[in-house]
Amino acid sequence: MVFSSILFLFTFLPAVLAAYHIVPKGWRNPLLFFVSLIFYAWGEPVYVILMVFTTVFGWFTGIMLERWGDDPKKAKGILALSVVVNLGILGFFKYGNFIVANINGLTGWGITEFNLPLPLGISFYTFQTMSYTIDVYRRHTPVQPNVLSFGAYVALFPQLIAGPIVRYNTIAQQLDYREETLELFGRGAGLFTVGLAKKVLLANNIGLFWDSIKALPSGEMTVLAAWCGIVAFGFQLYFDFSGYSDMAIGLGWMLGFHFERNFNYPYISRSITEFWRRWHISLSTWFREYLYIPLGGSRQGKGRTIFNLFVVWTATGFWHGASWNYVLWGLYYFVFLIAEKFLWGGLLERSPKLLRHVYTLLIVMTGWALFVFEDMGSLGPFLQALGGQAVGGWANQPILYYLNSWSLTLLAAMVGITPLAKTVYGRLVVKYPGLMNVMQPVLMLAGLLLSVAYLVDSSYNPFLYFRF
Amino acid sequence: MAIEINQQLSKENIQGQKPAGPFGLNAENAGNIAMASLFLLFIFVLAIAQLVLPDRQSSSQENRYLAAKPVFTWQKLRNAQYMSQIESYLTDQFPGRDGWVSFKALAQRLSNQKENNQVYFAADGYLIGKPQAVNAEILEKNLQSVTGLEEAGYQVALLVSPMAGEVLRDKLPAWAYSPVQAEMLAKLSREVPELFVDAEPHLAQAAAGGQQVFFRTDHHWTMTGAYQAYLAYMEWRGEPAIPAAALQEEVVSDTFYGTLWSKNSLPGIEPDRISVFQPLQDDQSLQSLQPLGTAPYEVTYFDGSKTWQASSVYQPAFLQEKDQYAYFLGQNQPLVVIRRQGAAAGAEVLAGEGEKDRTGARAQGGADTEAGSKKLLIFKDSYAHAFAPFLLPHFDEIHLADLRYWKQDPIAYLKEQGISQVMFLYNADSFVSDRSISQVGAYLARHK
Repeated sequence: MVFSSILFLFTFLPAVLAAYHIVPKGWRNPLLFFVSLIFYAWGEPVYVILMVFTTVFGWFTGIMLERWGDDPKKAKGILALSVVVNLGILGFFKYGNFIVANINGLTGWGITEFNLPLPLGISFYTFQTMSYTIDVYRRHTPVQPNVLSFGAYVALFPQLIAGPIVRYNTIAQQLDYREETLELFGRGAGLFTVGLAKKVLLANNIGLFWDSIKALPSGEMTVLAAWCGIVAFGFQLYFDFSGYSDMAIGLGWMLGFHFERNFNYPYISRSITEFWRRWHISLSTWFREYLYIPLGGSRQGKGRTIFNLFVVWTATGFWHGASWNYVLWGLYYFVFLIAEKFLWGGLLERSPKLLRHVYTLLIVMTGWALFVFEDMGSLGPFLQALGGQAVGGWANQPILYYLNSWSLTLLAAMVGITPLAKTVYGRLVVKYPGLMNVMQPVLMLAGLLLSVAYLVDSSYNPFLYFRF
Repeated sequence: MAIEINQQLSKENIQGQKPAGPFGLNAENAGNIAMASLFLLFIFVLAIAQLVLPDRQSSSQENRYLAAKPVFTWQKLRNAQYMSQIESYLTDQFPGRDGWVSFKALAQRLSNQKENNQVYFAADGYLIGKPQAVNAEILEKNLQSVTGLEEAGYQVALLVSPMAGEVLRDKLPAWAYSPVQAEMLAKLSREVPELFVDAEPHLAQAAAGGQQVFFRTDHHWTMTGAYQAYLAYMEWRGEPAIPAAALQEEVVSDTFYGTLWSKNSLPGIEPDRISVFQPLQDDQSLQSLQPLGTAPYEVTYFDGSKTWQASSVYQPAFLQEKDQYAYFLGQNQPLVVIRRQGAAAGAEVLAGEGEKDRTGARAQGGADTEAGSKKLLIFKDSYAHAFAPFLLPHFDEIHLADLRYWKQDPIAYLKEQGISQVMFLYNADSFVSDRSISQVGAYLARHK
């Protein structure tokens, strides 16, 4: 199930909210676990078994660590078991086909591919479960004795399918004690609506623009179209994913949870290093906490740091999908991050602001081309078009039409990637608190009405991060 | 975005311990409390309405059937088909659906979008569909059907009509015009110059002269547009056509919202008028054009399993329904045959009329006269429906075959009925995307 659907908004959510506030407090976690399984099973009825297994297994590693964790050998063994099982599940379901296809390609053995559909959100929930076991192992967090509460954490429907990747230690306390207030609920409703509007009004509409450009016959591809297209894809991905995170965090507030933020205006970054501190924060944090630092981080000399970063960015790329282009995309960032760390980082800091923005956006947007074309055959011509070599020349009529037709949408997106609206809004709240008390609900209602209208009449409502 | 600031504000509020009103309401958190209440009200009211309101079978605004409540089976649950059906069902039956759909069209319009659901917001209250991209493989096969029939000895005409996006390109939003249809028609005229009936000049000229050749809210041509195509066809035949002066236009409906409006239900678009052409009262020779029961013609409809007859090519009952274009020859049926009453005798009547002809229409010599009557078979889409009435004075029998639904062997049918004149009449979108036209070529190959 996705948040941006009539089913979720007007059947699932009201039913869950009503049940959540009717049942006694002690039943809330079991209830959340139960409804989250329904939420999950909606799209993947069979894989719900996998989900339950991961949950029970993760919980059990905690119990085992509590019992035998004092013996360092046994503790290590349990930890290794958890990592192997989780990565094994992920590897089998997400990368099985890819590995088999590559082995076949190299050896010509012709092993039959599994052709299993990818279980929803598997990359997210396996990472969450591992974070729990590792944190318990490191004694960063107490063991969760109640399997249903632990289930509520792993399966919690707001962040189940597309994150943010909630590390256990950030909500351990909230699982057992959290406070739901009407005021927090109101803030959650507001943020949820912001996320819904980002997804339905911006991401979906800009997605249509990008799809039109992607579908241009090769003879009509122009340099302008390629650039507008890839920027549009960058917008779509950002509003899709950050919108989803906003909805998740907003739903969390409605239920009394506080998740950490996942996006912090990444496109205003002035370096690639900064970009990755602002984009998909929960994923970068996960890799930093559970991979980069255990490898030794940057404390063991230059050579080792470069190696560690190489591992982390190969993994980050690969995490995004079972295809070589994602690995390429990860390594692309590895190169720029290394370069900023050891080569031109200082120079960059002394450069004019504008130049730094242009530098960052050029790299990030070009990177999306690597990200979006899984088929290397279509990547080549597209990169050539970005580089000024397009069959259709610099510009033609179709791109002018699309730019004209999508002008306001793109303009809204450009404003939306900056904190401008937030800043103005914040000032207004300070200056005219009474007026803004009225404006808040009015704006929220407008966002809801528009989003629902677009959902009711929608043939186009993809969800990009579904595949991860 | 803004929410975080509120978060800070409310933290200050908690620390500041402002006096609280009823329900803990105070100046700082009133906005959030209002949002909470409004959000809950919004989702619960619609959730309840969704449960309580009765389901609709179809939407006349969107001109389609709406998804009905799916039947539960374990099999459908296992493969998640049940879930996707539930989602379509809820979305289709959403309370006030028509209003939401129109609201979205309005929002598209106001956000400077030039299209909604593949339909352009065009000038002068026109909605114009985006032309179909040419499927080269389908086009090639369809063309083979046309040439194949010609090679088999039939007299074949190919009339592919350009659509509003081509003829009325001046009304399109800036830079929206794409020459796909012009290029495709040029290709046809290049490859089958002898068979190709070029309707574009007539349509364009009439449009430039201020005549409405296409509906504003529907993808069909009007009868005025069909008349222009008829002129082109008669020119191609080398025969005089019924002059416009012999016809008068009569408006039969002014409440028509067509297929384009169904996709793009912009509020404030005026409904279309449907007019029909009738012969002027005193013109006896055009009596056959007389609609509404007085025409000496019999129309036989065949829907694939049963046949029924009507005495007119016009069906006023459809003017009370959503799809008012079906006023012309009803909805698409596999086969419709329009036959002059007493067809055998009819040929003589027409031949006789031809000699003392007042309009200039002459009986045409050719293969058919040997068989004793003039017959034409049209492979067609619904564009033929407003067009066929003009042919009534020229033929004893007109067979309209819709290959999408007609599953008979067309070649055997032509032989059996003794028909040697054939016409392919399609709009440009159909001709480049409709796979069924290639059946003719396939059957031809079988008969060889």
